[in-house]
Amino acid sequence: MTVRAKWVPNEPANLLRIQEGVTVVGNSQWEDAWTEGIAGAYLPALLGRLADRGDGEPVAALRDDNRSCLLPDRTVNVDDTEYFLSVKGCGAEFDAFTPVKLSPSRLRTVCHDPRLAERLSQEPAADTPFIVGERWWGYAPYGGQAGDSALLALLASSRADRNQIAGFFICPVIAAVRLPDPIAELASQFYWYRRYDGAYWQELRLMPSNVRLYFHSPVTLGLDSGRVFSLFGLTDLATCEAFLERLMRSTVAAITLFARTVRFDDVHARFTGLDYDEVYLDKDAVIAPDGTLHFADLEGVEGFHAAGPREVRQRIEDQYFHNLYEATYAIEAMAQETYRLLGLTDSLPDRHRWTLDVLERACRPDPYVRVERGRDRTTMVITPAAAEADATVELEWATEGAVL
Amino acid sequence: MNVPRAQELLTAVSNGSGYTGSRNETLEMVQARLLEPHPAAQHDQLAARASQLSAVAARVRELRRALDQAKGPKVPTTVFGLPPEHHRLRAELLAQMQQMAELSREATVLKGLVPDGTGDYVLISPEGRRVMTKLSVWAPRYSTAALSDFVGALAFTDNQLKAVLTRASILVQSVIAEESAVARAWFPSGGGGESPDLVVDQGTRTQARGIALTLAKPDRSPSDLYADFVSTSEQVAQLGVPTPEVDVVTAILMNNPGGSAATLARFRAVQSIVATAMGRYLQTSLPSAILSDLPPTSDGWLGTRLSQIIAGIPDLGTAEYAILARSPYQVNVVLQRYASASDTLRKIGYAPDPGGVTAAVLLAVSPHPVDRFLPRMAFLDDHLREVIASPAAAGILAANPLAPEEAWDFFQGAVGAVTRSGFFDVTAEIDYLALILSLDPGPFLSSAIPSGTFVPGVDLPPPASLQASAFVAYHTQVYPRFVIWSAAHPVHFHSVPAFG
Repeated sequence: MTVRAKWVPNEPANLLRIQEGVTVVGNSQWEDAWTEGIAGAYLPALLGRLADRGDGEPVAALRDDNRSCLLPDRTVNVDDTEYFLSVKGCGAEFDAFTPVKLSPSRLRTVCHDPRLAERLSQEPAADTPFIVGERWWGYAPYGGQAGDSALLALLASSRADRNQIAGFFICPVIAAVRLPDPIAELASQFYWYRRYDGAYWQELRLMPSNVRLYFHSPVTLGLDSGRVFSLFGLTDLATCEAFLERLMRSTVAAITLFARTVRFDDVHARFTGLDYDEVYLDKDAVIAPDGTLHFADLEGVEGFHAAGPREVRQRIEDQYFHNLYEATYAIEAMAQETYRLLGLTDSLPDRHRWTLDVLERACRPDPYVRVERGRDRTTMVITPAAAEADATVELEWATEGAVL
Repeated sequence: MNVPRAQELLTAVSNGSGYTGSRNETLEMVQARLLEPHPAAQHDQLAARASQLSAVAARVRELRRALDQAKGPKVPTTVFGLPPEHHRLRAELLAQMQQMAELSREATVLKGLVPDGTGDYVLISPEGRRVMTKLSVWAPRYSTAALSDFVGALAFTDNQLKAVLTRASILVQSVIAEESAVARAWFPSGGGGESPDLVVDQGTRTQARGIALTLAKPDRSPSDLYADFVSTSEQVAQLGVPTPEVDVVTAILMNNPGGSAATLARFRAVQSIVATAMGRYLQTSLPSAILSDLPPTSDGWLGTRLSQIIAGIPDLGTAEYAILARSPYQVNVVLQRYASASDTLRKIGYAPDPGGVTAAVLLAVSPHPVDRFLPRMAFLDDHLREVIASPAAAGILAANPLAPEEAWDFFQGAVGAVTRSGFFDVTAEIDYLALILSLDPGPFLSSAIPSGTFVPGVDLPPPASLQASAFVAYHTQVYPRFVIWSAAHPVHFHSVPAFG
């Protein structure tokens, strides 16, 4: 049975799909997804009009974050899971320096081309996203995406087996697209302080939902667990338990990403595995309707080099503990809401025992993680994909007495 | 089978040992769907199957490691794509995963099987676990009852809550339209320093849901309820009730057993008594609503009673005076009980601010002796404080006639009912709506449970419920906490909000 993609409503956004003049770097695993209905770049409608792209196709989208949109009616199936298209870098919703939405009148104030400013004055007064030529964070256009970031995300996706890297589920980038130069030149006429002169790119990626763990969604598991339950149809113990098991399995994979991807690099005589760079589970991961956590912001998933087994062990431990709080928060939110759903007086020891039982089951098929339940504590024995004999570590998941 | 025996047997099955049920007892619990029977042969089959689990899991792990070798931190530079061998392994992995999932399920069943003493086995069902959990709270009250009565009482409560929520779901859109008009009048655009979006949108919707829930408590058709609501609220508005209080007063009057038409007449009569006694002519609506179920014979002494209470406890709100006057106690007893209740609030750390005062007033009029104030309030406040930041919420639950553990469990049941019904916009409002269902648990409990004994005091009709008083307390002291609720947990710190 197909797990249908689900999304919570958000602000609508009018986009314009163009194909002429767009440069595409595709992910070979996803050629089948690069269909006539999806192929192209997606501009904010206002930018399309200013660029006189009358050849574009109007597309109704939903906002997601400040510079991304969802296209819920354009879907792709991977095995039995449905994903919808998400475009990263298709326009910012908010002014970079004022907490108001962008609009033609506000864009006029940062427009450095008098002819464009004149055309903006004829636009109807309404909020509109826009790709602005302000150099943001030093390397990206505000509301758009930089080439190296888009290609890093594509690279991370290329490492995957479709939608997962050794059990770590991702929102795969099916292509990075570069906007035509005339559009880049037009966007670069808009900036507050520092003009961005590079190329303008977008990531086209697949997402199973827009429900994040804690931040950046209208509904998150951490804050609105009741609504998440309604949205995902979690109505009884059996469905909740199956959801929790998938959530745990995928979350454990996320906090042990380095261990499951580490390899010995013959050329440089060192170990390399995947790690997170300025990306976090609470804002950069979404939860599929079946509970599987998918990491969405792949531009921050990069290789980390370790000189030897000792450094491999250290990185496994660091990555685990850096992300364990957010992982546990998700699991706790899920477990607490399950008790609320069932109308049972919350019992921490009961809930703890239940989640540990589910954790044990969830990790049973995992070749890199084994759950050890001792009398005093529950630990995870993490056996990396390389240097197994020297770099296996045992890390604490829960101290029994601390909660009970 | 009686309740204590059922509790003993369910606990034994849950613990995995010591089950001593007779054949008839086992049959009764199977028929109640608390236990599932498993013949010995089935146990043996499960054991045989489960023994394959570790081998299948090992194969799954082996296949996954092999498959993962084909992809990793390096992207192959020469061959983009996967070798045919990969697809074969992947197909086998999927098949093995399916088998492992089934074996895992069977192993879990096997782990829960307990010998029933006849050579066969029993397994506690999810419903059995729920009943066992409920028994841990309610068993003392049902110590002489039959298991079937207890199971029936649980089902009765679930069904009653569900019925109210269903009616409220039908009513709510109409009430939201009414409340939005009220909110627009209350918070004109551009006024005030608070976020108008939050106050008018979510606050109004939550208020409307609370009103709809209150209206939906009587077992009447939603269309009748709505027609009555429109008609009564129009009449209430014409009686000088301030706009933000019209729907609250209407909901209280419509819940009066006498019906809204008769209650409206009483409301008008009580309004003038309240205004005279309190000397606050602009704040008579909520107190008069609370007192509107008093019979005409009370008109002779109500004003005096209010004046005596005001003289004994100066500086309370008008609603609080009405709650105290509505109590079944003599004035001197009311004053003593209020002093004890105030002391209770102080002992658990609350200042005499409006929320604390309301909680003290509710405790004072509760049916409980003063020496129970502190343990009741402390227990419920300890549980509720992190959910709703007003002591009035704990005061509402502490004032109801159930034991504190029962009151909390009933509230949890209401939380579950609201969650399952989907009758909410945001998760944070679920507890607030559940509290409205918990204002007076009486109607939701089976007649098998006594609703509590009130101490006879003055010549008042026995208050069938504290609902009107508690609803006003909710409206004035609890609901405003939701409006200023802030959706943030302080520990998530490393995000860059809005710019992902």
